[in-house]
Amino acid sequence: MDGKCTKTDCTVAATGKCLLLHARPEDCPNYAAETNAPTILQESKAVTETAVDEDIGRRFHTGSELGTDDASELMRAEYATLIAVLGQYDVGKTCLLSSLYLLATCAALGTEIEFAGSLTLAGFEARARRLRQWKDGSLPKQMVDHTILADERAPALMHIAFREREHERRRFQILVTDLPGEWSRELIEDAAVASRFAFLHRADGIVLTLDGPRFASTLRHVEINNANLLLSRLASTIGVDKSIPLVLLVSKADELSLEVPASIEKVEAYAASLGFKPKVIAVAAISRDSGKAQSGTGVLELIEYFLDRHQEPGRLAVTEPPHSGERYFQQVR
Amino acid sequence: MNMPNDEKIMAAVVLIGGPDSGKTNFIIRLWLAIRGNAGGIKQDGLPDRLEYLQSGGQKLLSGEFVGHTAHDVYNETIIPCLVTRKGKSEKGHLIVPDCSGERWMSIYNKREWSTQWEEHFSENTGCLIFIRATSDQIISPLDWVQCERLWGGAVAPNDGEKYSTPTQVVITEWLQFIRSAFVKKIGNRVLPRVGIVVAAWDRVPQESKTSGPMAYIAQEFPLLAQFIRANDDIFDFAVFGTSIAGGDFDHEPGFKEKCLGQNDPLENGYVVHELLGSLRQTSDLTLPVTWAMGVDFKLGDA
Repeated sequence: MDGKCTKTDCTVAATGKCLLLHARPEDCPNYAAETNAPTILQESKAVTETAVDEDIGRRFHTGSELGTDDASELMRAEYATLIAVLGQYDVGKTCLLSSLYLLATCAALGTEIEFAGSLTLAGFEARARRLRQWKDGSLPKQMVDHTILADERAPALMHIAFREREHERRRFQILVTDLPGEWSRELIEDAAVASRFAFLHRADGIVLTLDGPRFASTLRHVEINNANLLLSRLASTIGVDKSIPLVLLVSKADELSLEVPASIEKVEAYAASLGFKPKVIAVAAISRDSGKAQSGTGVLELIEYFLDRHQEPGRLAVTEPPHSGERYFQQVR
Repeated sequence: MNMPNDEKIMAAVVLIGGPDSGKTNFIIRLWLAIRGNAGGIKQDGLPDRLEYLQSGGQKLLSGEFVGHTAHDVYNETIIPCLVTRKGKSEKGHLIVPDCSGERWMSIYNKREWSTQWEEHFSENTGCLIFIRATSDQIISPLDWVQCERLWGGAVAPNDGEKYSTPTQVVITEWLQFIRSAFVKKIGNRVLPRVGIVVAAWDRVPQESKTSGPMAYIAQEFPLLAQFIRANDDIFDFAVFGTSIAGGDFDHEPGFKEKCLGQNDPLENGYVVHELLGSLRQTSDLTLPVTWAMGVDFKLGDA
């Protein structure tokens, strides 16, 4: 027999017996003949049905971004390496985040570390698909405290955890800022916005993202000027600790065949003159020409530089070392 | 939860999985295996309510897989059983809550679950997460080629339309939800027991079968595989491959007829595992549940 009954509680499909006692199930007005239709397991009286609107037993992380309070909760439980990524609009900050995520999803984090979790998986997915965009118009002026599921993209933090595959098998919680390029521009233009960047005092690393192709073009003079102004703001207006590792990230390096433009040296020298110890890393986060550079080039080097797992000699130690008691509880904002 | 009075709840084993992941067929097969009394869980009387198990059992015994569970169905299979824990026999009730795969996807999308699910999580709870091999509901991970095309402008972002979250991302989030619930309810003293079950193992390509279920997960779901390896200190993980009948009633010519000609149409069902450190196969279909309950389980056949 191929058919089912639409009447609740009738088990004719399993037993062959019509609840309304029709001698032939096919004679029942509720019976519907089916061929090759999937058998849907009939509900039994033992099934406990739930109302459509259920009481909420537990809410979990939103998955899109972490607000500063959300991040602080994480940081109280375990030390988190906070990496601040700065840079103007369209220099490749989101591309960097997406590339980091792709390295994890494709198990391309090398042989020493592997993905151990993320409280912002959905946010990474959306960014990698270019779906989580900044809303046109006015942007929040501070990092958000908490994120709510339906929120538009807001200045906040992305989270990812790695763990060493061998030896000590240390776990590293990493928070990376997700900030609009407008913030960097506004900081250059107006010292009054410096308070938004208070989190930099807690940062374990600062990335100044520089548009590689622009530094190799006639626009380089403007770019050098802007980068140096931003560095001055960091040093003087905000007063970040100069011992915090600073990376000058040369983005879109696939378009340059991974060659760092000579003009970057001027920014590097200026940063050094302010007291920073800058490191230059060329990154091809998502390559437009895999023949010139593979996607993800430089991203792992960036992360490993900040994690400093091997405690390389000659690295300038942060004045207030990571994992010190105070830094566990230091608020992000 | 409709529990008989004075009866001990031995364990709850929560089945988790998206649509078409194989949960319901496994529950029915589990029931038939318990009825057979040859595995790690033995029957200790009949459940008070049997219609759900009976209806599904008749399907499997007729050489038909049970189809899709309706969206609004929530079922608690409560089975009185006998197990062995540290060499001692123990009686009680095993609860296996089950709902449609759509409900678990809703939990992922809404980032919350009901009080009903919350109540199931205790020290005596184990979880089994199901993925059905070759299911067309599995969503592949984002890859570099897709990203390069998106970011390079070759294709426009799928703006305004919902995209399907890769299966490995959804499962990783479920695991993070489970961990969060355990830590907040019970603390860190108990590691959540979570089995990953690759259902329809018989449909996995032969070259993948010989590498075992964990290697299959690593190949198909690399993010999930990393999460499992990296979090072996905060979860108790195991990975299984299961085959309800040892083959496919629907797509393997002659298989159904062959099974129906046997004494037990399902006698060729099996579980593969690596609980002893190497790939093994057993005919005990209760093994994933026995393991998830934290009681003694039988190993081997080969």
